[in-house]
Amino acid sequence: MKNISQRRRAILKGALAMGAIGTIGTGLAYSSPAESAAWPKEAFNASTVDEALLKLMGDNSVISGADDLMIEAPTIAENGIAHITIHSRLPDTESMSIFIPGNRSPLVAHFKLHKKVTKSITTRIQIENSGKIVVIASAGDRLYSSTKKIRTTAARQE
Amino acid sequence: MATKTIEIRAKYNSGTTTVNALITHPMESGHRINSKTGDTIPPHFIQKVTCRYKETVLLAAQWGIGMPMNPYLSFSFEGGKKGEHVVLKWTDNKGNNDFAKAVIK
Repeated sequence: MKNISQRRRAILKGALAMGAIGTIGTGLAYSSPAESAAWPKEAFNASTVDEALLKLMGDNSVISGADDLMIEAPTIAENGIAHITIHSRLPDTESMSIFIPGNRSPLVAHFKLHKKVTKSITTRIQIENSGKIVVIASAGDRLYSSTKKIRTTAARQE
Repeated sequence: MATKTIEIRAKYNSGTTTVNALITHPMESGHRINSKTGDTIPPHFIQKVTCRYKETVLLAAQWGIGMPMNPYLSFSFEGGKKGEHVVLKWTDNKGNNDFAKAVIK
C-alpha cells in the first residue's frame, strides 16, 4: 500500500512540476524576441510522427523514400544512444527534423538551416525502443522523408 | 551560469568552416524516477540552440526529450575566415541559457 501511495504522490508531483515549467517556458518564449521562433510545444508533445509533423510544419503530406535524403546511423544503438548524420541533397533544403516513432515524444529535433550551411548535421539521439529513425526535410515547400531501421540495447534507466 | 557548459570548436578548411559543439546538460526527460525517493525527476532539457556567424543565424534548432544527456552537434557552412567567430547559444525549459564563442581556426 505504501508503495502505491508513494508512487501516486510521485506522479502527482511530477505532473504539477511539468505544468509549472510548461507555463514558465511559454512565458519566456513569448517575452524574448532575441531567438526567432517559440519552442513548438504541441509538436513535441504529439504522440505520433504525423501529428507532430502537422503541428511543426502545418502539413504532413510527405514524399517518402527520398533518395536524396540520407541517414547514417549504426544498426544498434548501444544503451539507447546513437550517433547519427543526416544529409540532404534536395535543392533548397530549409530544415531537417529527426523523429523516432517509438519514443514517447517522437519529435526529437528540428533544425532550421541557413542556405550557407552544407545540408549535413551530425548529432546524438536517444532511442527508447527498437524501430526506426525517420528524417523529414522541407525543401522547396515540400516535405520529404527517409527512414532507417535501428535496434536498441538497454535504454536509459527508468 | 557559473560553469562553462559549451565546448565549441570551429575549423576552416578550403572554403568551408566546420563547427563542433558539445554541451554539458542533464537533459532530463521528466519520465525518470529517482529510485531512492520514488519521486519523478522533473524535466530539464535544452529546447533551443542557435549558432551565428556575424549577423547570420546559420542554424536554429529546437530540441525535445529525445536528445540525450550532454548533447553533441556538428555541421559545416560555406565561408568563414580564420580569426573570425561563431557563437552558439542554448536555452532550456527552465529559462537557463549559456553561450560560447569560438574563434575559427
